[in-house]
Amino acid sequence: MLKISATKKRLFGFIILGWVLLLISDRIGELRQYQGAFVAMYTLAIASIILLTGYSGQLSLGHSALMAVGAYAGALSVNNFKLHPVIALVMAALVAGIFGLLLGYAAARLSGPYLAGTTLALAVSLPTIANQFPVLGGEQGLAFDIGVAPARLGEDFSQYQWFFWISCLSALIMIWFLVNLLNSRYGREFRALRDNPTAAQLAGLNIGRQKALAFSLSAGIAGLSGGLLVMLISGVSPSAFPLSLSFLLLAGAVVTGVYSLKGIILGALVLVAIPEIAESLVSRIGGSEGFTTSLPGFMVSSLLILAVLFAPNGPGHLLHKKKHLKH
Amino acid sequence: MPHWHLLGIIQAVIGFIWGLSYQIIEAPISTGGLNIFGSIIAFSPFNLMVLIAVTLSMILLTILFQKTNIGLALRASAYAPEIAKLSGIRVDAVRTLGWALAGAAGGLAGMLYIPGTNLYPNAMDVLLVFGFIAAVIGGLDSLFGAVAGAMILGFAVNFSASYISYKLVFPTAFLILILVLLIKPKGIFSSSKGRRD
Repeated sequence: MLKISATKKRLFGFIILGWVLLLISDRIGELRQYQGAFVAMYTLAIASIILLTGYSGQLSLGHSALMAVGAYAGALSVNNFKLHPVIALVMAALVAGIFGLLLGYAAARLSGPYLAGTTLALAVSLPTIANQFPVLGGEQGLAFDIGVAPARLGEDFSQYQWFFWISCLSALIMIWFLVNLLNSRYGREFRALRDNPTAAQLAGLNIGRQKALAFSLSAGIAGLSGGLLVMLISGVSPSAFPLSLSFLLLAGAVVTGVYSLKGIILGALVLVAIPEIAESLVSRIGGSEGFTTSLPGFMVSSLLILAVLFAPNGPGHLLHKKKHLKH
Repeated sequence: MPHWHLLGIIQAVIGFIWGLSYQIIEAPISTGGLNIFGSIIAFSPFNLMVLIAVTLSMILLTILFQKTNIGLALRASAYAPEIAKLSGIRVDAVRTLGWALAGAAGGLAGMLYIPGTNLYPNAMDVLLVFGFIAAVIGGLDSLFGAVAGAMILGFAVNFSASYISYKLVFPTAFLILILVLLIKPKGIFSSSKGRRD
């Protein structure tokens, strides 16, 4: 029998997934394409949280700020340096990654609530800094225009389909890279650190450097998703990155299960679907303004509590367990 | 992490029942400035009440933590849960008690905070952020640290808001926090040591 290495199988799987997405993108309406792009963006953001929390054991409430760094980097490289939008997205990831590296060295010395407090402060403070510098556009923010789709894709190729393609492709490439990384030496080192720092240190791992590396990688992925987010809402401003975004992403990560990348798209789907479900519920049964506004938050939070109670390691883990039982 | 989600549920339920509109709670005593030798200063009887309430609750909590068996059990369960269990402390029950104490202190803080502002589901978000930062600055295992951290943070934030720009309130808080934690990774008044490399 022909032997194919796991890495090649994985690459093959991702290419097939990309092909399926490409086929799907032609058959769905513009609204679904736009929502699909959001799902891809959230998938990336949740992946960055899972990498940091699940694999290196650091809790961050500051991912909205890291996304903002990437978003501003992307917008500035398109607006001020006239770079190609694709390079702008790469810049978003790079700048956020470098920022995360600096932050990671400080964060590596902190643990538990101290790290949570620091990243919480980061999440509320960083977006307000943008108000201080005119080059960042103040409250109004900056426009971020990815440009229209190339003409050769045809007349009826909509802007939303273009968004969908860009988001899905970025998410696929990044997640593929991440899965490979986590299955390599680095992934094993991260897990060793998370499970038993003392033993990992005795085995010769440099804890501070590994933690900073994980933080930097996570920040880079968050930066890319931030770039995608402002591409989808076509502008970047401080109000696009509230603290509640961080909590929302954490919620998505917990629903997915923080210790595994399996089923990661589920968390992203939930984040996109819940406002929709809440809206349709409200339009059917009606209700006061307080009810309408509070319903999505209530649904996300209760889903989370349920997830923590019944599937503490994520639904992916549950499936995995069942499979084991069958054999 | 589930306590973050409790926050979401509580805020949503408050929104369901009482709506999102701003409500006002009158302060129990005057919030006008005190008149001292004919000049009015920026310090009201209500501010005095806040100070007294905080001091009293700090004294009570210190006595509880340092002088009673319950306090010893609380500290033991936080410091070394497994050893505490071995010596017969019901760690889960003690933790529940810890939550109850924290809830009571939080309720008091809310009632002292709201008369200066409005009440709505998200009214406490700022308090959550500043409270957390202040506790981390002071060190999470020290009551005195909580007060000192809050004073340091409060003065710094108010000075930067008055003399530089009110927009820099949160960046100032972050700057102070990161400076403190780079020097003392477990806060200023903490007795335990953090990793330093």
